Amino acid sequence: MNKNEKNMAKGVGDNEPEKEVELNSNETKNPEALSDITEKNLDTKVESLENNADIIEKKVEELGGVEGINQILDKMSEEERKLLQQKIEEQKEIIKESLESLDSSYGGIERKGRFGQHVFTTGNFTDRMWYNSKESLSNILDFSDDDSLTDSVSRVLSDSFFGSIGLSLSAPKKLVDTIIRRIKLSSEKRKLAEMEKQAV
Amino acid sequence: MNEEEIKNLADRFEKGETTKEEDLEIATTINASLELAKFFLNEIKIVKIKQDIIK
Repeated sequence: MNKNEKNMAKGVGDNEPEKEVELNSNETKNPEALSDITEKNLDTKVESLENNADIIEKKVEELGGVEGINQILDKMSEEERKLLQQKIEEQKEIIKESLESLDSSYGGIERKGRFGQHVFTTGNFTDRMWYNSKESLSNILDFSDDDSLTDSVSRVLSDSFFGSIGLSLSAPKKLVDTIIRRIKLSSEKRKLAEMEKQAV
Repeated sequence: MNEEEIKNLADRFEKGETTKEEDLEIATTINASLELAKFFLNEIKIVKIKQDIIK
């Protein structure tokens, strides 16, 4: 197993990384197999999103909700806050490094160009998404129709170093539901387009 | 990926016009954000325990 395959198997952010589908050299040569791999990885990721949303919701509840968390944050000394910030930044780097490894692996999902060339497009995407996650999440997920959610996250988001986790923290299920709904929508549209193509 | 491209991706995601690979990337990134949230909550729990002891 090479480095990329190991990273792929590790499955960043997954509760059950062993389910992550690995690439092998035979599968990467077959576009249909690649499509299956993407589909299976997507299913695994959706499952992982749901699990993580459940875990977060329970943890937030244990801590007294967003309000309880805010109270804990308010009681923290400047020194404690700096330490927490440092830990978060370190963890961000760890996760980011794993994502970069996955980028290579997903590049290995190998969007091959028309002439069979390897097309690596993911690195920039993840990098951009990650470093500006607060803005990007807002871009990807328009919650503007839900003022209560906006209000509930505003306090957490007001501290810049919590920015990237604010949305995940205050309404994880809603966040995940939105993502899953849209993934399902695109999946259905693709199936429909495929059926139309076959009908013709 | 610049702002315009992200906006374009977001628009297509909204309309369900993204590819499987793009959906996978978005799900992976969101999941990473959830992982960070879990880490944050664990740290906050430790802080809370310390605060409760001091109290």
